[in-house]
Amino acid sequence: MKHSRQGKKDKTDGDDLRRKLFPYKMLSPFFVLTGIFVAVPIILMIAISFSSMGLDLQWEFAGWSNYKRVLADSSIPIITLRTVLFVVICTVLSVLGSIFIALMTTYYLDIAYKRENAGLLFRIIWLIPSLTPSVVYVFIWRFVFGSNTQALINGVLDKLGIAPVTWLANYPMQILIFICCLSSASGSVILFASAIRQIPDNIIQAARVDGASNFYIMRKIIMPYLRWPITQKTLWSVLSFFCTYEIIMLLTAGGPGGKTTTFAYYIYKNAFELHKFGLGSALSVLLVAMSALIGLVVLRVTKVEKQLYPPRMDW
Amino acid sequence: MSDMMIRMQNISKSYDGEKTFVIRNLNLEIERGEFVALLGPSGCGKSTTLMMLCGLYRPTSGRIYFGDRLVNDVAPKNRNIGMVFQSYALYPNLSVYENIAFPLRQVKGVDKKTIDRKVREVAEIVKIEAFLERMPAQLSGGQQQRVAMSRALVKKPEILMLDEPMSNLDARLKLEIRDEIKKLQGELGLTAIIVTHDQEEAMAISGKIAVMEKGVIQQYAKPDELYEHPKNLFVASFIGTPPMNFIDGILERQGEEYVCRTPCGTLRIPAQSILEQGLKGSKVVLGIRPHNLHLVGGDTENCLGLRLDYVEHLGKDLLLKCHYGEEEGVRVLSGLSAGVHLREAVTVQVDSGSINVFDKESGENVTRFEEVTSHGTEG
Amino acid sequence: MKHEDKIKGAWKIFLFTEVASLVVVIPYGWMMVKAFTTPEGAFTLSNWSFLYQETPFFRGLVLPVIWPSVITSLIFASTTALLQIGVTIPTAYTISRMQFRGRVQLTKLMIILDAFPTVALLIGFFHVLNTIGLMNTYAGVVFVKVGMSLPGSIWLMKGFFDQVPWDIEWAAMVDGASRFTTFRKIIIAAVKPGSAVILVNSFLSGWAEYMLINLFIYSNGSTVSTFIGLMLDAEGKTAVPYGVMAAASLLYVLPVILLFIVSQKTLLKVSQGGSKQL
Repeated sequence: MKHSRQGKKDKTDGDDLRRKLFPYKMLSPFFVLTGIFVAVPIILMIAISFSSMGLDLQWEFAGWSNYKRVLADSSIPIITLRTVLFVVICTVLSVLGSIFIALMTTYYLDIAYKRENAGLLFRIIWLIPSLTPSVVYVFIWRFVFGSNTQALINGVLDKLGIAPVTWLANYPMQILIFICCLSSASGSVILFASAIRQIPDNIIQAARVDGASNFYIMRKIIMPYLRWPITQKTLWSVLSFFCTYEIIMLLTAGGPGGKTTTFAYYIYKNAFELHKFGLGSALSVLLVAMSALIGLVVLRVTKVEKQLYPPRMDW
Repeated sequence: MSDMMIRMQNISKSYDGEKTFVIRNLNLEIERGEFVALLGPSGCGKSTTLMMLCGLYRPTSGRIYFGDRLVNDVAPKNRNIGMVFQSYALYPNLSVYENIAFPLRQVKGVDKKTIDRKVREVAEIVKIEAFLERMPAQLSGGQQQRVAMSRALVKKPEILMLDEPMSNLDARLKLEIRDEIKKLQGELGLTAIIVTHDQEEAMAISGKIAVMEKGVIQQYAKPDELYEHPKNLFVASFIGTPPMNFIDGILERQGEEYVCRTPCGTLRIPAQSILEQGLKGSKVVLGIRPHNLHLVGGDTENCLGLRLDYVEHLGKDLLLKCHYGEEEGVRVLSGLSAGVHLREAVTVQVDSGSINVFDKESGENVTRFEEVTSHGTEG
Repeated sequence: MKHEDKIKGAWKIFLFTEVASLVVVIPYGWMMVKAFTTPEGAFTLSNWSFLYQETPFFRGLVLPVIWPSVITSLIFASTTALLQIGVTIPTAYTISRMQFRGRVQLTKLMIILDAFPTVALLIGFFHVLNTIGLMNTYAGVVFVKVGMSLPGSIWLMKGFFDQVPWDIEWAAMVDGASRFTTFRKIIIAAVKPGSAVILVNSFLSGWAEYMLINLFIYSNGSTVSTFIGLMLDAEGKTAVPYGVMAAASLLYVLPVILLFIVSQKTLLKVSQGGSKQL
């Protein structure tokens, strides 16, 4: 052994400050970006909620007045209730719908009946809504449900001799729920489809050899495999419907008569249409508090510690 | 000063903050130029031991010396070692050439010409010159193994570490690669350590074997010594194919000899061949290799009565599977099967002096060995 | 199963799925038809005039030529994707494969942040961008957008890093590489499918971004999304030239669908890398 290697170099190999700092160096871009563009806005949100800031961005301490106004606002209970209903209905419909489509295209067409091409085609069709940019997505549906006879449904009704219906004015919430569900379900079909595809073939084959029907296999073998994706998708849907505002803004702008104003959209409206930044921030704090509750549930079911594997070396 | 290449002193290793230990108080010395195998079932700690030797893991306590240099905290790259992994661990995104050149490129100030020369040199030794431009995925298992070997050797290390290097190869290729590794190690004068769970491989390739179980070295000896005089029941059962037979017995001193009563017969063992102090009680386990049992016609000295279940052909020899009592099996290696019939009684004679006596309670070998004969391979 | 059953059953399921998918097919198909027809139903290419000239749209709104917007959108989406992957990869690697103080807490924080409603932060974004002088710049919007979507992509990417075998990393360490060199030269190559997923996803998300650009960039119609947004604002109680909107929408969606079909195999790996975790 060469003795010259002993000494300085060996010492630094062992207790190397650089080695201990290395993970933090790797994380630094994340820290910087998240710090400036997420952490600071969060702090600002809380700070602004105690001010009467408007578009002029002037800090003016307002104490609890924004929160008092929120509590006094008679529309808040209705908006909250509407938001809860919107979230629950959308979540249930979109999760059930996407499981159904995934089973149809992936289990029945691909696996049970060996029609892979048809399965793939339908999966791609079902994916299109989630790939569509929101402006186009909303345009398409405003076009379908438009009030004049140029629009799709009213055009057809006109040909049949039926008077046009102002769909978006009469059924704004129903339409909103429908298009939100469709876009969300569209995104989850692919998730469930690949969960189904990951089920080992031999399990299904074995069940089939044992004489199980397609429906039985679906219920007893496929569904248990989907438990975790379904949990995941449900929680994620709750969160995303809870925070939906872009589609509402583009489709109905919360109207008519505030019929489609959810909590998230109410924040947007106060902040960026009425330019009440202080009030908007107070509402935001409440929204964050509510979604943090869901976030905690997510954290519970995720079991972070179990998903962090210890590095398999001491360097 | 002794020419010890590697010394591990009182090494312990825990992965969970010293709640459980995978390695306990391990001591191991390896001489320069020796070929040592770490042998044991999976989970015995042999790989962990190797990982501490190569520096990827640090011991929780204890010291590791390479020569006179304490290497506990020395990075793997500064240990002058080459390593071959079970899965070969070839870099999938680099060509064979770049895989072999990778270790050289990590050293500052090595020019391209030198790298090229060294890569081609080692590729020639390991006979993969033809594949240098290919990607690892385009190679067969044996070729990948060779690439891994050349990558390990390209920096001319002093120590070569092999972690189950042949477990992914088919039987024939295994023998071929085994011979080549042995030959290379001798030619290059390397100190080599191989981790394996295959006792046959360990016996064939290495000059010394450390048999491990539950994080402890059970016996560290030359292959023939392990085979002839296993230190305890674990080593005895792990070494040798077909495995050693174990027969429970009660030992009783009768003058100048011990009488051992077993369910299938009584054996006499000279008193001087038993280490009396090792006996905790009268219950013992007799360990007898299948080739030390011989079919005999009648009942003579040192015989066991068995019942033949079936016969297995091993090529030159026959392996007779017998039993006594309820289910206890005994294997007998025999050149012929004349005069025996399936499901009938057979009598076998035991070579005197070939019996290993283990204390039933401690599992330790209590046989006194005349003289440790070593005609084993010298590294 | 008998062969006949197979045919019969398949036919039923096929028909059923086909009917169900009409919900998607009809509106999108209608949009395509509209892009090439006049309100009266005759074939025309005049809806596409924004490709080469300023086009009067509706009540005094004149649409500019669309190409500058397309280029801006492309640059915006590419920058978003590159920044996203550039920050995601080292962070995800560190969380997946290194031990450091605060590893668990950071991961938990990441999950909480992933659940954070963007709308609640809009006011804060506004203030921060204003303070550091990035208001009305695309750089500012890129930072905000990437900052919000990092937790999700890091968690997804972590799943890919988890699957890289350790022995490659061991071998590189023994071969003399530092952990950073190993990461840079070996490990990144091993998670290429994951990187592709993140790249494509964040490119698409950048390409589709409307809200942040609309809020933080003052000029109207500077990206394709806000270009269409202009028309969407005009649309309301009265009929607008649907054909023009359909044409612009088609132009906007086509690259998305093409990119998806090209990268379909890679994108489907999302589930393997990330979907096991939330």
